[in-house]
Amino acid sequence: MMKINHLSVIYPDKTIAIENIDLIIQNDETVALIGANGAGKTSLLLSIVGVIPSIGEIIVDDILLDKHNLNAIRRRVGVVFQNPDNQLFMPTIYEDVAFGLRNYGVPENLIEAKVDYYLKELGIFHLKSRSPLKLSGGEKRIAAIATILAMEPSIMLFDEPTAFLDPKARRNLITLLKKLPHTKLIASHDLAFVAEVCDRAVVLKKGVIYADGTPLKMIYDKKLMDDCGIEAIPFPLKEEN
Amino acid sequence: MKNFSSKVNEIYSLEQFSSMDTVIHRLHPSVKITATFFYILMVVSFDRYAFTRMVPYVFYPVIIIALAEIPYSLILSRLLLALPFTMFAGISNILFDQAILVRILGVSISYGFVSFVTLGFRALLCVAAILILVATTPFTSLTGQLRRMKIPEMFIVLFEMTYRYIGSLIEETTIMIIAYQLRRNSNKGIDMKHMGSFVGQLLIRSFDKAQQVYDAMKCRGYGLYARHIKKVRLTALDYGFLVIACGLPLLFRLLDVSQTFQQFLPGART
Repeated sequence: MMKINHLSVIYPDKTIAIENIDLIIQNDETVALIGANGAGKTSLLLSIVGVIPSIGEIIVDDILLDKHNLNAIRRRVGVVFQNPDNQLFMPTIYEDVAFGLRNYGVPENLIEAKVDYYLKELGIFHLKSRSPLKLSGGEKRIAAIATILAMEPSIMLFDEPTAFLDPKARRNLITLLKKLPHTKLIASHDLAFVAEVCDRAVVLKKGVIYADGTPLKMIYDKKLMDDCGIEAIPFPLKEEN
Repeated sequence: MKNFSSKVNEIYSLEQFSSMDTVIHRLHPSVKITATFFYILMVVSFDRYAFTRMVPYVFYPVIIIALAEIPYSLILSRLLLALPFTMFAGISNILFDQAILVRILGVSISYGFVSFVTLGFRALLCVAAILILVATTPFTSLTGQLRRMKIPEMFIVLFEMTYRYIGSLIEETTIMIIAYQLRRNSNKGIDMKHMGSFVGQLLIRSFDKAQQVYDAMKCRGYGLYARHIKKVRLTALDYGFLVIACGLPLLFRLLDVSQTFQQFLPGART
């Protein structure tokens, strides 16, 4: 479970990205963070793992985020960044997936077994020895997810996971995310994706929580979406989904 | 443009060989680091006219590349990239040091020319040794071992980030050049009047990208690796390699092996 109490993120130029928000995410819940550009979605995700400093409390599995527990939190919370190119920085996919495991002291023989297992699970075992630079956008996204999954976190954070994906890769990602049993917090403004994958949606507007409820109620609410600078899904599309 | 962007692949392709399983790859990283730096130390210890004395040092790259099953062309192509820099550094020697050192088959060879060749040769041997180390040792093992050897953390982080940063810098440059040329109606490169803002933007963008890569690394426990490195006992193979890889360069340094070769040069006189 993740608890966020009175969390604020203020950048050095005094921009308030997140302002005094409270949020509880239960185990196994898949929560969408919806909001226009600049609403504070990425800032919230990065503050949860202490990449950007914040004020307030973040508690993950009863561990309070502070400088002493930073690594314990990062072990439990995996972040899949918006741009997979920023996440894949090793010479091969194998090395990239093994990177986090090595840092946390997993023995080398176990690392190989874990990397192989997760690459097979995600259907990208054939990319094991390939350079990330030579993969397609969809393959990079799945590989980025593998780098996090292999660390076996209890919570996964996704920042705009459908960005840069073509329809087929997007569909594969939806199928994969539905299968993952983890607690998930997914920042996205792809409302159709949110409707399919998430149990709950939290709408952010200018750094504060503007609404919290079921995705299907919210994403067709034209007034709510307009207020937050997002385009609501017209009703006819609901039937297609 | 294709050539430019392929440089990103070239930089990291050498590291891809580091996960192979050969006798050289299996050696302990500390042994390879020690042998490499000892070799470099021996090579740079010669004076600038000692070209012939450095020739025997070719044994190290030639034998190690063969044992590690790395294509010679891979190392050679990267050595060629370093060649212009070494030539540039030594070119003034030819111009300012024209006294005749030796005549071989009637051809006069000046001190300046010998020092020019020596500087270039020395640099190539050193670069080759470093390239071989990178191609035979996984990057994380390399930096992990440097930490164990108590090399200051600042240097290691700088080394790691520089290595990762080169790729993102080239990537950003490629994207910006494409965007520039598409709006310029010419493929002549960057106009000088735009160069200042181009380079400025490039630095800001690549810093930003490097920061994001660094954030992603931190999220996966970057910096904790050194805590988990276990002390591994060196094997007989490690000791054997160390004795040969350090012993031969030391031998070539103490004994002038090149004298033997000079006897076979007909008509050589100083």
